[in-house]
Amino acid sequence: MDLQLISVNETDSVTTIYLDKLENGLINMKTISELTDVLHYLEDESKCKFLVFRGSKECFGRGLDIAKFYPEKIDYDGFRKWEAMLRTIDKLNKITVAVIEGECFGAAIDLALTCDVRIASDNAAFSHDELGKGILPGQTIFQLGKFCGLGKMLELIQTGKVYSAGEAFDMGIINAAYDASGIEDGLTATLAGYEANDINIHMLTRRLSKESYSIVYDNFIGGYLAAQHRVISLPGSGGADDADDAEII
Amino acid sequence: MSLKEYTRIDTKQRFMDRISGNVYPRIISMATANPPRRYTQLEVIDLFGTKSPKIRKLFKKSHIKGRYLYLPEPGPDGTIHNETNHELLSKHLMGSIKLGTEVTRKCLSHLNMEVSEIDHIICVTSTGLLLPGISAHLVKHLKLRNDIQRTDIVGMGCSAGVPSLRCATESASAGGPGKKVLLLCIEISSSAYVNYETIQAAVVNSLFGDGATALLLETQEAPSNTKGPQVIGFESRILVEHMDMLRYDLFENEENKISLILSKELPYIIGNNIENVLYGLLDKYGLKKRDITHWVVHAGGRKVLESIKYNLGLSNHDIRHTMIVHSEYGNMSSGSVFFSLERLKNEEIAKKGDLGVLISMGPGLAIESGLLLW
Repeated sequence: MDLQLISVNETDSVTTIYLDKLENGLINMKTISELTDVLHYLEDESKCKFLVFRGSKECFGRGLDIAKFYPEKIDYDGFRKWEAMLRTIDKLNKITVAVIEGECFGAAIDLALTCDVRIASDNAAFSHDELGKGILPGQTIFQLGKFCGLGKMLELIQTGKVYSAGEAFDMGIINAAYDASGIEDGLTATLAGYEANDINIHMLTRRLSKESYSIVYDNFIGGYLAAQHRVISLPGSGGADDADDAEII
Repeated sequence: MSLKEYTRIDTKQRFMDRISGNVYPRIISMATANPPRRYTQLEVIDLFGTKSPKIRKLFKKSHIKGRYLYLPEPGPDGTIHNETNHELLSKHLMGSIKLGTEVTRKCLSHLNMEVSEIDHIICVTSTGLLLPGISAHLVKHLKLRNDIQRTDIVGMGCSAGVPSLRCATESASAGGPGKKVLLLCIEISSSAYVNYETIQAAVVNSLFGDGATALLLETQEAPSNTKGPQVIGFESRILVEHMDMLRYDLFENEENKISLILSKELPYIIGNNIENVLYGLLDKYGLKKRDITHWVVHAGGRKVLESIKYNLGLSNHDIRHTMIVHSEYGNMSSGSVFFSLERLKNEEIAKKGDLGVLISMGPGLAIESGLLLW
């Protein structure tokens, strides 16, 4: 596959997507297209367990290059395609990790928040700068408050203030912060922490956890029982069916 | 295969290229109909005079808000009498004729068509046994042509929607351009009710509703302005080892009424097997799940829907029409899947080139799927 704006490294268990060839660190329609193609490959063909997103040492990403969504005018469908790409990550049969070094602005935070895990080096700088560009954040509005709370989310989005990896960790936005020299060991330790996870159980845990923010328990329970039955039914999982009998079907 | 070896394939475009030039029957019109009276769950349980707290809780906990039903007028005490076998069978016949007539006229009226233009009528029901079958009664009441081709499909239960569409599709295809096939799913579920205070009876009484659907199919050789989807193909599985999980049986103690028996394992068995059916369908056409834009699923019950959602990775939005049909109408057996299809049509969101999957499941244990192309 010919990739111009991203590069990919594959090992048996880890695929790393580098956002290291973006023009000025900005994500354009071609980037979205290349990312989508690689995600489809991973979904359909790859046996790896982990997908890691990285930028360069200085920049994870500076957001969407909306001026280049379309040569003459803004292609509003570009926002849909970006969100669809993020949705593909959210449903991907891999454990996803964002390794953030340097600048992480705007939609680059969308990407990081969509991953299962976020780690950052102490040179990372975060900013939700969409309002300054005259646009709205997408996935970030949907996700950020779940990590740091509504009040802090509004402050971060509405001011665009720059915050550090340490602050991001303190607010619960990232899972760990490392000094720059420790980021590789940090990534290794992070992957080891998830190594034992069955991918189906991991995916269903991801889904149920995210859904728990938007549904009442009476609606959660049916999904939980269906998911529980699915994971227990997998070969080698064992266990007993504990379905309740109040509503048979 | 590594990424270097991987060649990006637009599977949907490949599919479109492959079928280019083929002619498939199209659903040129559809309609739905229900009895005039809609009941909330609380109204139903009060009409049955149910005192059991467990059964009342089962009705109250249901995700169904209301259902259209043919129920007798209540007596002075506000409850309905326990209908006899004769009354239930008569109700099935009366309801089938009323709803079958109404839904057929509605379906044809969308195209200003006359009943005389129908070449084949296929009638589906599992909520009552008639001899002669519904199709004969409808020929009489609708004044259909006496040389009309007739087919009655009985006993396939909730799964029947999709396989009966297969029959209609094959008939329209075999008959060539212009042949008009009317597919009617008519279920008078209230004629399979038994008014006993058992959990088994209560589950059935709390879940199923009365309703009818009509789909008109035609193979159109020339490009058509008709917006209805083309029916591309089907895939099904029957899991006979689970045959006992969903069946009619004689009710244990009184009057030899038939009653539906449902296993509480049913949603999970469906969930465990639904991927095989879906991927069998998609593989047949070289498609991926992401190529499918519209999901139209039989509203079997809340747990069935949850099981399908979590096993196929579908969202509430993907099955929004089915969730609403379940909530607003209950399970109308064979026709439910087409109530969802009609909601999708009315949403006017399906675009030319969109692909959709129909899924129904029922006794056998059967899981059925079909592929539609707008």
